[in-house]
Amino acid sequence: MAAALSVVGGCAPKSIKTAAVDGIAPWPSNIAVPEVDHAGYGQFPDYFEIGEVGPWPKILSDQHKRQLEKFADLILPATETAPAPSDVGIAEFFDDWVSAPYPWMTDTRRTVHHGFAWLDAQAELMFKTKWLDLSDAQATEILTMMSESSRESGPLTQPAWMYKNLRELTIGAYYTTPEGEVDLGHVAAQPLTGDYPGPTGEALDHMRDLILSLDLEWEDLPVGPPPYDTSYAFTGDEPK
Amino acid sequence: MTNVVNEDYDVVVVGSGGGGGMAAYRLTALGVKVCLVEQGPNQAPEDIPMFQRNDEAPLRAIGTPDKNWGYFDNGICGTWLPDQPYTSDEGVDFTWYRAQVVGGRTNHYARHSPRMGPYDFIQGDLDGLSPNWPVTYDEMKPYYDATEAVVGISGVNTGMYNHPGTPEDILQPAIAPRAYELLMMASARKVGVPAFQRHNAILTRNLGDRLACFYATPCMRGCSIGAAFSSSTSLIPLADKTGKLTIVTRAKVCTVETGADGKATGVTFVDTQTGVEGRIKARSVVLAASACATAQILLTSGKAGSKDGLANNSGQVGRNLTDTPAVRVTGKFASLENRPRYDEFGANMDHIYMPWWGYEAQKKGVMDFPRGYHIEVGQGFRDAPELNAMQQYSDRNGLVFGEGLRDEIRRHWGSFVYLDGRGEMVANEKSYCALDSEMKNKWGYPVLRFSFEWSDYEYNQIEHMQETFSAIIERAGGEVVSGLGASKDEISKPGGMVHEVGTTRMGTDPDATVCNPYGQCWDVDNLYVMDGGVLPTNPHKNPTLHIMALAYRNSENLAERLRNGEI
Repeated sequence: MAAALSVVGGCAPKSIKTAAVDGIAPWPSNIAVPEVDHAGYGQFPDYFEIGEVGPWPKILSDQHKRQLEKFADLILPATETAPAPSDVGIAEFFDDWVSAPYPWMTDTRRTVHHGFAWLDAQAELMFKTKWLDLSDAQATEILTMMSESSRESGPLTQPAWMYKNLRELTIGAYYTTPEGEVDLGHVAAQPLTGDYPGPTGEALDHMRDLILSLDLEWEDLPVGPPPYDTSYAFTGDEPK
Repeated sequence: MTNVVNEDYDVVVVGSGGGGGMAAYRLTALGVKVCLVEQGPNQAPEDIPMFQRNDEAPLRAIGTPDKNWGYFDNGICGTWLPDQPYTSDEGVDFTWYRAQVVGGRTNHYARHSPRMGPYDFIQGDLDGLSPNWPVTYDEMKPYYDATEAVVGISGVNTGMYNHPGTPEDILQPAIAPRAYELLMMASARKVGVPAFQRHNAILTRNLGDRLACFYATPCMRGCSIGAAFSSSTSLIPLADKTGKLTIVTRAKVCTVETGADGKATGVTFVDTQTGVEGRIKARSVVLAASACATAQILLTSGKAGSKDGLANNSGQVGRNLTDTPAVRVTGKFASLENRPRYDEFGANMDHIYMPWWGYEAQKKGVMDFPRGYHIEVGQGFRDAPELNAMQQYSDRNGLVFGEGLRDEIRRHWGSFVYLDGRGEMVANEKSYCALDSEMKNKWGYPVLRFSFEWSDYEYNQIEHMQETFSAIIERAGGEVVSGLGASKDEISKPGGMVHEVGTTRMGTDPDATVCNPYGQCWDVDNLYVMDGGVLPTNPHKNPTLHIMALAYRNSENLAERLRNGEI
């Protein structure tokens, strides 16, 4: 069975560098973060009652949601065929996430509250305006700086971790929506009658060509639905 | 909860998973009046969320402290259950996954169902590192047949040494391999590793009231049509039809009670919702609570002041604890980037595997580990996207964003394949469970404490897996991207494979084992164990099928003794 507990994006840096560096706003770690101490959905939730978000109160302000949407839409901009994260409920996802009363949401909750204040301060420093008022080119400049900075040391450890954490959550949340699956080209499982066919058409041709190009045997593989050729045998394992 | 305190049963069965469910099925079929006690709730077939998407759940259905293995994991389950903590020795990170729901862990298992072979029963003769089983393959074969006939098994027979097949009139057709499974089969065969479609406890044809798989929903959530076998859909309903079965849920059994003659008189339990204690009387008791929980019940059932517990004159209750050593080696395949999409979900679980092939080499002594393993194969774009998994596809060129990131993720989606090793551990003195001397659960009963160490047998086996998997991945044109670290770092966590067995071993020597060859406790005539605790060894062949085949057989022994007045 697969392990299932993991923390998305690892843990935020514990040491907080606030020393003044030219051109970089200090990380505002003094901003209050709401306490979350509600119950979770419990060990035996009513799956048909609870739905898409947890039963806990949501803590994000509308401004936080707009700030997160701007961030997420820069990570995965809309294309002609795929909607932006803000059009598939990314703000509601983040609100659910940072409001959840489980330990591994704590870092992201703090990061959202400190991080968007930092982004506003950084935007002010660089462009004399707030994060939400930046042009895409200006915002991209800040995101690029965050994405290229070290999460281990230097003046941008906290912004770099914020970037990695929110980027991963954006990607994970986006591609788990129906619209994200379409963009990924994922073919979701559909109930079938009769036998599962395995790969067909182009997928089958691709695999046969690949296997043959690697000088591997194709003919004795069990391809497609039953019945199967049983010509392949393995011998030589019996102890003498 | 039903008031059962004043009713008398022939048998009270503790636990409704593979062992307990099979005991209830077989005993009731033989006319025995059974009370089946489960500490979790019932999850009715219509209450199973089979079709919900991950984004139709809080937090995209990822694991949380409430639901450790994901929101939709069936029942009350996890390695961390607030009401029932456990402890481990310093430096030991034992993970004890428990499933509290009717059907127990059969709701969650991988449905992989290889039979043990003749060789597996006689390891005492072959390498002397663990005892022979007190039963041979020939003796077990009819019970494997009968068990598989009711469980329902699809797959192909390999014809290989020590991998016995299933009779053709029982075996259902195998499931077509996925694209990446075909690639791994071809590569494995080329490097000298056998590869076949595997035996799964998943129906490809209707069986009784159960329907064939429709290849669309995750087995671990439960399967309301019974295509994926679980005790709750496939055994207990059959037992229920006999009119001989009473099911009590949300009742955690704490002790086995004994009378002045030393025989079991029933069990005590607490209602997990109210904390009220109760008692169920029966002519005999079957413990099938899972290996470690059964050991816990026995150790807790001693006379006041006795640390040794019940049925423990051998001192072996809780000893010989083993799990399956495992490692995952992941390959990245440029040749699979942007490959043509199709419905790769199939029957959710693996369709193929590589059975152990090194018996002759081991006999010749050319390997530095004594027991076998098998290989499982996964990933591709089999499963629906999961929040935690997507970063793997997005970080191949650093933490890029914006235009181009979508193309990158799309390109890499489906281009990873992992090989999972599943080995056999040799029991050792340092691996066992016992009662914690201090901590108690909320109802005042002592919790379990785990001690555990892998030995060089397991570490050496892990290294062999790593070399073999690298060869298979590279021959298929892939690049290994993870899993090749030091074996001590890469080996699975103790308990991580949820194959803990051996804590109430059966055997032929009352001084060295807890149970006789029929799972009857040597020290308590009318007390049986029918879970993984009785397995004398833990072959790499997943334990559920063997637990059920033994429960089938040993229930016949119990029923006969009840019938002829021995009990």
